[in-house]
Amino acid sequence: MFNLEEAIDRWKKAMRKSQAVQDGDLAELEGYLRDKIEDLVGQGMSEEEAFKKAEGEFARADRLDADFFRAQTRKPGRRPPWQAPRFIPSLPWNYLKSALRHFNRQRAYSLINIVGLALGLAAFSLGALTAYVGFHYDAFHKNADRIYGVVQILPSGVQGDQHTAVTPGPLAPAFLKEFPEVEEAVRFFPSFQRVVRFETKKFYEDRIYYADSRFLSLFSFDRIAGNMDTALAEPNSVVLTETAAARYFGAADPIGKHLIFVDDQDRVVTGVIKDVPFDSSLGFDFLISLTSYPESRLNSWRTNSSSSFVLLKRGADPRLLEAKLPGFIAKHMSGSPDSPKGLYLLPLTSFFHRPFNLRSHLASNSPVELYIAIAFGFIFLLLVSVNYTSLSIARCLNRIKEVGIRKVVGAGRNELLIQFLGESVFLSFTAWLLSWPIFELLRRAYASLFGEAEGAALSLWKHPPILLLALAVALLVGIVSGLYPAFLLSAVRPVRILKGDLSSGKKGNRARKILVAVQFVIAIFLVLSSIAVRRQFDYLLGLDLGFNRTNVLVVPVSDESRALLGPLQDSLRRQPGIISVGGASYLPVKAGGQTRVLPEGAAAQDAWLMDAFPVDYGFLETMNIGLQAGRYFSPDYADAGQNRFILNAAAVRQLGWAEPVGKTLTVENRTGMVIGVVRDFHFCNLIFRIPPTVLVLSPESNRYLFIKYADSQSASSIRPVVEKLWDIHAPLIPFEAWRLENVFDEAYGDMKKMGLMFGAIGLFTILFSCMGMLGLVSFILNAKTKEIGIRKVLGASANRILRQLMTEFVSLVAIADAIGIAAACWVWSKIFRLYAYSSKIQFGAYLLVALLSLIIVGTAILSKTLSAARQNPVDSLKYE
Amino acid sequence: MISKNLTAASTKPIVLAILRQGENYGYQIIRSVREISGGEHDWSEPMLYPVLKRMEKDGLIKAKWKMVENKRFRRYYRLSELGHAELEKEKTQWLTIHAAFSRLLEVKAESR
Repeated sequence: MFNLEEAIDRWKKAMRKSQAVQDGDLAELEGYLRDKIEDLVGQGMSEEEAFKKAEGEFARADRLDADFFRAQTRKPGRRPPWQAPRFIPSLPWNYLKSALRHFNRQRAYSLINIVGLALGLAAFSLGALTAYVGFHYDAFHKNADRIYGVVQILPSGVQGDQHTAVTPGPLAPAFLKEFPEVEEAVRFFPSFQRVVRFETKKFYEDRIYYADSRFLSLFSFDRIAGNMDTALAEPNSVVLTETAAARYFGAADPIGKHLIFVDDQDRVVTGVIKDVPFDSSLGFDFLISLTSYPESRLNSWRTNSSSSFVLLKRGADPRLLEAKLPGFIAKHMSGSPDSPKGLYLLPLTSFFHRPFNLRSHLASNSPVELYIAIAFGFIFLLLVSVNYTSLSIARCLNRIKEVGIRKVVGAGRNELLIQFLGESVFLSFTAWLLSWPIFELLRRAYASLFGEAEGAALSLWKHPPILLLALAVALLVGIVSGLYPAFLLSAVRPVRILKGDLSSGKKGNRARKILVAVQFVIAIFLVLSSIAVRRQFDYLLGLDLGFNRTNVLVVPVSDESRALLGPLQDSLRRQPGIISVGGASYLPVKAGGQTRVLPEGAAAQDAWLMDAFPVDYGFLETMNIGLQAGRYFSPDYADAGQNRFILNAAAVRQLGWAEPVGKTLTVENRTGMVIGVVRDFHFCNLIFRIPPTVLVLSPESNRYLFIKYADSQSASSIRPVVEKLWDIHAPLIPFEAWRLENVFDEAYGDMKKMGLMFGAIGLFTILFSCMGMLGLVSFILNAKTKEIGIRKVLGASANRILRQLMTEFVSLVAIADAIGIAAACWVWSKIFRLYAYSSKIQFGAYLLVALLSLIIVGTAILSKTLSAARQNPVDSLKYE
Repeated sequence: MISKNLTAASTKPIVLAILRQGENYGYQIIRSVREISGGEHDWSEPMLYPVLKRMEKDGLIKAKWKMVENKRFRRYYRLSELGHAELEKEKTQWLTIHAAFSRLLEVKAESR
């Protein structure tokens, strides 16, 4: 049955949707409609037909609007402002405007939200990129996925197996000959520090390697000059890096020129390559052709001297090759107590982060720091996301009225969901865009701290997966943070809202509280974490290394100058201002090789593997390494010529000797007596424990001279003194001297930078958390203003309100703090156990931070509540 | 069919003229126009109503709600002082154009 009134009502509802029709208009239009219907009915039509005809006159509602507008407007040709631009569908346009309007209404909070999320995304991207680059060292080689290094498993008696990637010389050629899967095999090993000369220029070089002729084909180092296939073929050829070449030849072409190496070996430059990139664990400045090397050492299966790397054919399975290796060992390497128990292949890309007890010529580092970087990026992002979510939710509650109206004019639940979800995603997408310039800023800071090359490698454009990952994260955050308010708002009852009942119920409140709590937990955790890490680094850097590093000058010694050291040292000792002089084989930042040590009475297979440290007289005294038993090496006791050893405390502990002095030891093939025990001292990376070490007296292995000078002197005053004496005793040999402290600074530079970085992160986190927290709390309090007003009206005093609010929030924060502290303590104690040495967790500091957070929140609440409580309740109630 | 521009331009003067004859309302105005033009001018309410609003805004016409048949309201329009003056102005303009146009066409007819 056709009901005219209902039809007209429907028509009215539809008309209301039009943007230009105001209430007064609609009444008149309705009047016109009725007039027409009346007329048509009078002419004989049915009500239904009349209605349809009358309605048809208004059919083009959108044109109606435009016509109305054009009639009203002064400017010709204008498009009504509510209409979307020609090519954009109108409902999304409306959503967009609504979103922008909402953003504008609370510009400060909205901005904090977006900028915060952008920051989080940028930090996360940086962390992810750093980790990615860090885990992909050596990946720049073209064939990186097919390159493997050969690793031996050596028996070492009681200690357990020793894995080493230093192998016998003939191994690589044998691999190439006997295994068809091997396309290419090269070997290389470092040469000891030596002097290199060209005409008048002479320098100490310590990055010299001997390398196979196929080295430059297997590995991919960018060529600048020369033929890479033949450069290392002939004996006595050498390939230089760009910087090394510039050092000797300036801008001139080095090819064909001759460099003189320490043993008066004349080598011709056959190639120049670009400097080795920072993400290569292979570091060198000079490559000398292997054919220049004496055959005898190269061909011995008994001496482990070379790094051996193989390139497998495409499609070859390394495991199949590994299965053949026991046979290989039996054929070439068996029959001695030193024989390897096994051989295996380690991918080139796994070398940098190899287990720390796997010896190799290649550089390595602990991946722990990378994990920390990722973790920080991730947690920071989490913090930011939670902040973003809670603030979004809080802001959304202001839009309840808008939702009510939309529902009245016919928006369905789905449409509302889409609107709010879409809005949230749109905002997070904008945050993602904003994170690009922020990321760039962070990257610049990183580059200035860690080096240009490292910084340049962290480009998002070079690693699109990370860029997209950040986008995915942003969208995820947008969706997750939009879901809750979307559901909450779309479920709201319009009538209740418009009548003024704006409370969102208990559910909304609880969610808000949980979010604030979660945010606090994460923030506290992050702040405490950065404090913990910073302290750890400070601790490591300030650790007592067991020797004295101040007031020591280090002079490098070459093979040529070694013989002249004796008289030089004597002259030096006679100088006033110089306290003592000593020599050693290694600088105290990198350990040397390991050696087999047999205590007296032990069988051959019970040998230990210990670090061997060749030193000269005077070294231990110069370095102030404390003596625990026995005596130092001394010429007075005719130690020279005898085999005399000093052990460090760790060695004694391992051997289990109560009275080490006087016992006999066989080190390598030399048997001799232990004459003293010194305390442990650090000569390698602080991450590892001090290894058991045997100090061997061997002045013939000196490579560095250590000169300790008095406090009254300085490095700059002592240096010329030493130089003058050097010129007297060793005139033809270049003189160089460094402060020992500088050597340390360089070696631990990275660690210092990390410490700096974590300090910055911590500070940043604190600031951000404070800001986010304040924002959230003040926002929530704003919403409570009405409640405060009502309470005031009902008679509550400002104090009562204050107390109530405080307890509510403070208890929340206290719980959150407790959780955060507990989490931080647990996590970091676990992580720091990975380091050999770690600082204890300082509860005092943690409590301080917790207290600080409480103070901050308390202050925020106090200020806001006081202002709200003091307000005239009428104003508060009017506030909407 | 009259062109849109011409329809738009002529709406105001026609409405003024109709209202000069007395008070009137929307539907009736449209009916009158249809009758007078013999069906040539077929205005629609969406077209007319904005014009009425504009004219009211400009002060040319005055509007009033009146109750009809004791159940609903209807809006009646009448000319104001300003409206009368405006009508005179429009009349002059249209007649001037008409005169010029007629003379041109007569001359052409003669010269044919």
